[in-house]
Amino acid sequence: MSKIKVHEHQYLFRLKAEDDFPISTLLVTRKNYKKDSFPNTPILLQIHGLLGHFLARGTPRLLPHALLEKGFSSMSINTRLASAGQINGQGIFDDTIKDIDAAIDFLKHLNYKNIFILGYSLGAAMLVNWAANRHDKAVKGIILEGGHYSIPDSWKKDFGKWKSKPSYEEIYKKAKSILGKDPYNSPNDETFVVYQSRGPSKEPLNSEIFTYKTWWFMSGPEAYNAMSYRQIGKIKLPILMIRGMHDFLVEDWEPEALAEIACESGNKDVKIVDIPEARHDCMENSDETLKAIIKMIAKYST
Amino acid sequence: MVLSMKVELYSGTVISVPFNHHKVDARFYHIATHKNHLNKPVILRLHGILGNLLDETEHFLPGILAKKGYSSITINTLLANLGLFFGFGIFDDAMKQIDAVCDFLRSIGFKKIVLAGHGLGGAMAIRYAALRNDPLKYPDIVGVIAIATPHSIPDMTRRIWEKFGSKPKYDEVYQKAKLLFQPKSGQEAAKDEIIVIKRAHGRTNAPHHTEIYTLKTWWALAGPEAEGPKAYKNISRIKVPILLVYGSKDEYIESHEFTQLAETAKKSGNKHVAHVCLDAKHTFDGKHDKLAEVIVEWLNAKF
Repeated sequence: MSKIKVHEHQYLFRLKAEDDFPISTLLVTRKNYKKDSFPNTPILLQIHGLLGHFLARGTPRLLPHALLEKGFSSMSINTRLASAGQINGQGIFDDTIKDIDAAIDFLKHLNYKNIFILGYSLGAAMLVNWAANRHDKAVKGIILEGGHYSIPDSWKKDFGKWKSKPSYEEIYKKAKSILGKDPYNSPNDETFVVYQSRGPSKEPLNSEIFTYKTWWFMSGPEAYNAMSYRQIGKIKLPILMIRGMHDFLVEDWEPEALAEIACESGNKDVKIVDIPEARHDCMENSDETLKAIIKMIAKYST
Repeated sequence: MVLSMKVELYSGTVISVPFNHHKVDARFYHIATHKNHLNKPVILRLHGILGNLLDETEHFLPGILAKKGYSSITINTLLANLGLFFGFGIFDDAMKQIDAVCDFLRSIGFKKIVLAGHGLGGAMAIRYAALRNDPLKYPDIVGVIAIATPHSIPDMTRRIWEKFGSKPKYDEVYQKAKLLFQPKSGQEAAKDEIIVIKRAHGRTNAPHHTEIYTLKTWWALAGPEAEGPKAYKNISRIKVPILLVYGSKDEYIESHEFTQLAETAKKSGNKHVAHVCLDAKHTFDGKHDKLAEVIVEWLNAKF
C-alpha cells in the first residue's frame, strides 16, 4: 500500500482565463519545471472529453505518465466544460477557446515554445475550434483523438436512435423560447435532463444533463463552432487524427471526412492513424497510441 | 507560491489510493522530513457538496497547514464532481473509501489521523468517526473537524426547499423515491433516474438555484430516512476531540443548529468539544486565514 508511485515533478496550477474563469491544470515534467522548460523542449497540452477532467479514467488520466516514461512532458487542463460545466451552466463551448488560450500563454510564460495539443473526444472539437481561430507560432501541431465530425449531429443522431425524452427538436424549440434572440447574453437559463439519450431506459447512465445555454452552444443545430467539419478547413497546423478501430461512438467515415476537408483546404500535413484493439479511448492500446503521438512530436518539433 | 499572470501553484501533489478495483484520487501534501513528524496528526480532508479536491473551499488549507507543520490529504469521494448526478454517489459508500485512505496513511507510518470536512464533508467526517469509534480497533482516529456542517442534511434540505417553493416539493420526491426503495406489495420496484429540483435554494429556475440527484443518491443524502448525513445522530457516538466551526452569516444553516450540534456532542459525555463561530458565510470566502488559524490553534492544543 505504501508503495504508491508518486512522480516528483508534477504540479497543480490554477490559471485564470481572460474572463477570470479559473482553470486547474496538472503539469507533469521530466524534471523540475524550471529546469525543463526550454524553447526546444516539446510539451503536450491535453484537453479532456465530455464531463471529463484531468483525473478521469482513460486517456486523460493515463497519457501524461505514459508520455513521461518516454521522456515527454505534458500539461492537462480542466476547461469550463470539465466535470459539471455543461450542467451548472458555466460550460459554454465557444468560451473554451479562452481556456486554451490561457494554457498556451502559461506554457509560453514558462518558456515552452514547442507545444503540441491533444484533444480527446469533445476535447478534440474544442481544439479544432481553437486551432481554426488562433495562429500561434509556439504551437507546432494538433492531435485529435476520437474526434467527431460534428458534436451537434452526433447528439441528434443518438437522441433519435434511442427516442430520447424530450426529443432533439423539442429541446431546440424550448431552448429558443427560453434563450430568445441572443442566447449568449440571455439572462434566462434552466437545467434539464434528456432521458434515453444514450440507451433504451431512463436510468442515470443513459441520460444526459445540460442547461439550455450549454446545450445551445455545444449540441444545438446552431452550435456551429462545435461542428468540426465547418472549422477544420481553417487550420494550417499539422493534424494527426488517432482513432480506435473499435470506436463505438465515432463512425469510421468521420475522421476520413474531416481529413478530406482539411486537405482540400490546402493543409498538406493531415494524417489518420488507426489504433488497433482500442475503442473510443485510444489508450486502451497505449503502445500504438504513444508511438503515433511521439512520431508526430518528433516530426514537427523545432 | 504565486507566479505572475494570474497563476497559482496549488500545494501538494496528486496521488491515487487503491480502493477495491478502483482508486481514490487525492491531493497529498506530505511534509514529513523526519520520523518524528509521523507522530503529528495528518489531516484527512473531505470536500463539500459537488466539490472536489481542487475546489475553492479545499484550496487554501493544505498550504497553511503545511506551514504550521501538518501534513494533509484531500480526497475525492464518490460524492465528488458528478457522483450525485449519475447515481454512484451514495453517502455511506464513501466510508469505505475513507477506510482505504486511512490504511494508506497508516502504511506510510502516520500514527494519528484527524478527519476534517466542510459542509457535506463535515457530515462525512462525523459519520465516519461515529462508525469507527472503537478506540481499540481505531486508536489512530484521534479527532474530527467539522466546518459549516448542518445539524442534519435531510432536515436542512426539506427546510430550504420549502422556503423557496421547490418544484417538485420535498414530499413529492420522497413519494417517488419510495417507489424504488419501498414498493408496495405486488408492485415492481421503480428504477433509478435523474431528478431535477428547481427553486431548491433560490427563487428562480436558473441552474444556480437548481439541485440534481438521482432517486438513489437523494435517498441516501437528503431523504428523511437517511441516517448517515444526520450529524446530530452520529456526533454523540464520537469519543475523540471535536472542533465545530461555523460562519455567523451562513446562508444555509441556521445558527441554532450549530449550538444544538455542539450541545448534543457534549451531552453524550465527550469532554473535548470546541465550538467556534466566525464572521463568515458558508464557504468562508475571504476568511480562510482566520479559519486556518482556528484549526491550527486547536490542533496544537489537542495534539
